[in-house]
Amino acid sequence: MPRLGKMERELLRGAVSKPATVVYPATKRGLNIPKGLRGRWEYAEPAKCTGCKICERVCPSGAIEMIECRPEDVKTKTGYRPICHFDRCTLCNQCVESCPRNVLRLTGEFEMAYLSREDMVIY
Amino acid sequence: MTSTEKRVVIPPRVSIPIGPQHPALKEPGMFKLTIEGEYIVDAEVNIGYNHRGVEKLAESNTHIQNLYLLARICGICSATHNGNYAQAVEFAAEVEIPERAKYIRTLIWELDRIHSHILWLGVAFHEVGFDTAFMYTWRDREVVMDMLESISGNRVHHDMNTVGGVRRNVPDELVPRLLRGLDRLEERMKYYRDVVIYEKTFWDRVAGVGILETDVAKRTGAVGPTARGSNVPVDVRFNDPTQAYIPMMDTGDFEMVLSDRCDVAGRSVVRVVETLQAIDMCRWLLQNMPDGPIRERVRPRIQPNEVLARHEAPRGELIHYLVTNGTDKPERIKVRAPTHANWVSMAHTLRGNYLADAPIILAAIDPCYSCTDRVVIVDAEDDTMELVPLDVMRVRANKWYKMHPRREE
Amino acid sequence: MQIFASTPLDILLQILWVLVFPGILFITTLALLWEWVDRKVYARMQNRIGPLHTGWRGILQPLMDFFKLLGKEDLTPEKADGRGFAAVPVVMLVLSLTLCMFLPVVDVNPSMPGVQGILSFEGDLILILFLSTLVAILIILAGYFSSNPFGQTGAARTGMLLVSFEIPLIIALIIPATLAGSLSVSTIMNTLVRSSPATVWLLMLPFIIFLITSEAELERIPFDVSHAETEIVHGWQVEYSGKKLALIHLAEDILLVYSAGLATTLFLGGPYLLEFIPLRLFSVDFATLAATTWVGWVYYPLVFMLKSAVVVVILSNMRAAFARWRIDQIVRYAWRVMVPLAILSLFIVQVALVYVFPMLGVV
Repeated sequence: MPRLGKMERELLRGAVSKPATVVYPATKRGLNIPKGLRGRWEYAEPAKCTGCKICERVCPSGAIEMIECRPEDVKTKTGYRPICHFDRCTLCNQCVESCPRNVLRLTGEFEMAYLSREDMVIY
Repeated sequence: MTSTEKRVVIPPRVSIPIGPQHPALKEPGMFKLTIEGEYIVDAEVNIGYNHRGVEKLAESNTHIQNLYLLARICGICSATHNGNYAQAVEFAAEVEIPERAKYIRTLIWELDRIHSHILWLGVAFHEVGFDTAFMYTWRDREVVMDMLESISGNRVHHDMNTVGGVRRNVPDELVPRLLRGLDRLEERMKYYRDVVIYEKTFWDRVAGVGILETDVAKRTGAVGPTARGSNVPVDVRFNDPTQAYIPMMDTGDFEMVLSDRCDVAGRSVVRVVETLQAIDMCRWLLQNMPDGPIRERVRPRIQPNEVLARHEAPRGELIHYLVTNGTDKPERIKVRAPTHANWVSMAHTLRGNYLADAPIILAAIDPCYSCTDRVVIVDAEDDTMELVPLDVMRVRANKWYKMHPRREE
Repeated sequence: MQIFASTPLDILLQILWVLVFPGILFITTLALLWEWVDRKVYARMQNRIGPLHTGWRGILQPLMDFFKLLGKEDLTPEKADGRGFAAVPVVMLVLSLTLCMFLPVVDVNPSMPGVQGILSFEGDLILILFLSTLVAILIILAGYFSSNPFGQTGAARTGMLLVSFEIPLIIALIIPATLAGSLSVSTIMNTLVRSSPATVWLLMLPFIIFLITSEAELERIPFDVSHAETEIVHGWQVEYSGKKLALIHLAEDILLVYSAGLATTLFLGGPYLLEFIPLRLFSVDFATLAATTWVGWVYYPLVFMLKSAVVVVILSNMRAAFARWRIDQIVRYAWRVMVPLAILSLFIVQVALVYVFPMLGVV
């Protein structure tokens, strides 16, 4: 039999218990960030990279671009290294998986707001 | 009044547009309702605001890339598109994936179903103005979102599947945590089932509203909870099981959830009970998960083949039709999202109800506009339908832009 | 304000009453405060936090929202009746403020016994009922002036609400009047406070009826059909923006103050609290102290606010606990349950007054 105010007890319980809201930018407590989070792209181990361009080829959104190694970079075999245009990245982790030498990584960092596109190119 | 004739006062007909932008719609869609007073006498469904050309784009991508592209067709049932496409490619390549991969894939599908149904329940509460229950359901949905995130690394786009298996393992130390989460979810879902059935204000709004009779549901080809709420037994998990659904159905512990109420209440109850069932399924999958490898290497070039992959998405039967041609790219991929099948009966369901019920009836099929929209131009005047090829569209677009030049900056 | 203003000081004092303390400024502040209480309680019942950042626990958030809306662009639809469209928010604000003037908050007229409202005369209950109905009519006009299908649907629904809930509301307010034998709000309150505790039992049912009907008059869940967000996009408010919307929101908040205040005044004993304690210290000494010195100017408003806040919390709880009803269900419910209930309670009160009270010897 339907009746009025079925949730009343739950409401009162909710009113006295801790709020479920996470006051996020002020605190990160309660966010439950798991270990394997797919976050910001990282060119983790440049020493291992051969510049084979597989990551560029598999990227579904065309976020990875191979540029010629700049002077401050570690020189790869082919002379190219990946950079990530992070505005296009969909955080699918495929480049990390396809990389034959475990050069790339997605870190657990998830705060990824930038003011311009130039800031979003990850070297 | 001397006249003995019975006077019938017909209130003026007003045409009320719901959409393309409307608080009740989470995505753009247009419903022209003709109302007399508060009654809907006619309804016209116009969709197609959200066409993104995914199918065309998929033809120029490799199969691996398409997994991620198709996962992004829909934000809510991303795992179903992703998994079903992987399944389709495996069918085309005629490879068998490892047992453990099957179980993990099915686990993600079922967790996805739980989160999608809880989300729907919250939206349904919101549509009838029960914001409190909306907040509570979405709070408890975080439990399953955290579970999915800890398995796959992303809250929304899990992207767990790859051609030939799954990409991540479910570590053994995670299993007790998942089981604990499922216990909590079960307790909460039982409570929400009681809220749905016993809260009078909500039940008054859904009972007897948006009647979709069994024969109409069959005739218009409704799928998923919409059909099951009208007592049409269609559920791919039971009718044509794939993956780990096969051993699961062999145990005989699970039965299709049906309701013969044929109204929005029936659909709500089907969804809520199905969530409880999905929790049981997840528990079964976690307890019976075999050991072994999680992926099989599949060569990127898939032999020429033509397959149809079906899967019971949270909203109904999802069909991926895939033609491969021996390269690493598909020749043609056609997605029949479940919402597309459910739109057909929508005008019938809306007719004869109150205007106030329109949002909940629209929400009751759990519509996903962006899953659905294809380029089909229907002329409402003479009911002709026109499928527009790409080059014609390009010509039209060029013409339009010539007539409406961009403003100089 | 019936005493004739004899000296310029009196006139100044009366202007101050109207504009500042128990008048417009006080009521407006209270309105924003009640909106904060309402939002906070609603949020806490949903296990959320609610307003947080502006001021202490977000207490200034309603004020900020008001200012923000004042700064927004003000649009008038082409098809709308421009003058009527612009007049509605102002008239609504004026009406709601006028309604609040009748609430006895402090003793502005020491020559009369008991606490008086700024406006108080015999028969003002009738005027209050008339004005609150006028607010509903104004809402209907607002919907039609905007010439938007959503607005017109909202207006039609407001009309339906009006015909269903006005009768139980009037009966619920008539009952205290019959008990006190007066039609002036302040007099009713002062009489009821001094009458025997047995009347409390008679006022219970009308109080509940009043709470439900005022929830309907304020158009809050479960009766918020006339501006149901998910159905008709805020109904009659759909075309209002900027300053007009700010004024409408303020007027709605002031109507909340009025409803809570009227419930406090007629059913909860108005700004008296300690006087009910049956000790000489409180019921005689303190009462005279409050009535004659400045203590009353602090004590009465505080008690009034406390009691109103309780009513506001009850109203927020009702808002949180239910889904929105459909208009036909509301009308059916109103005529099948609320109206008979109201008539029944009126009947009970009459029977009690005529037969039971004399028999028991209660005056």
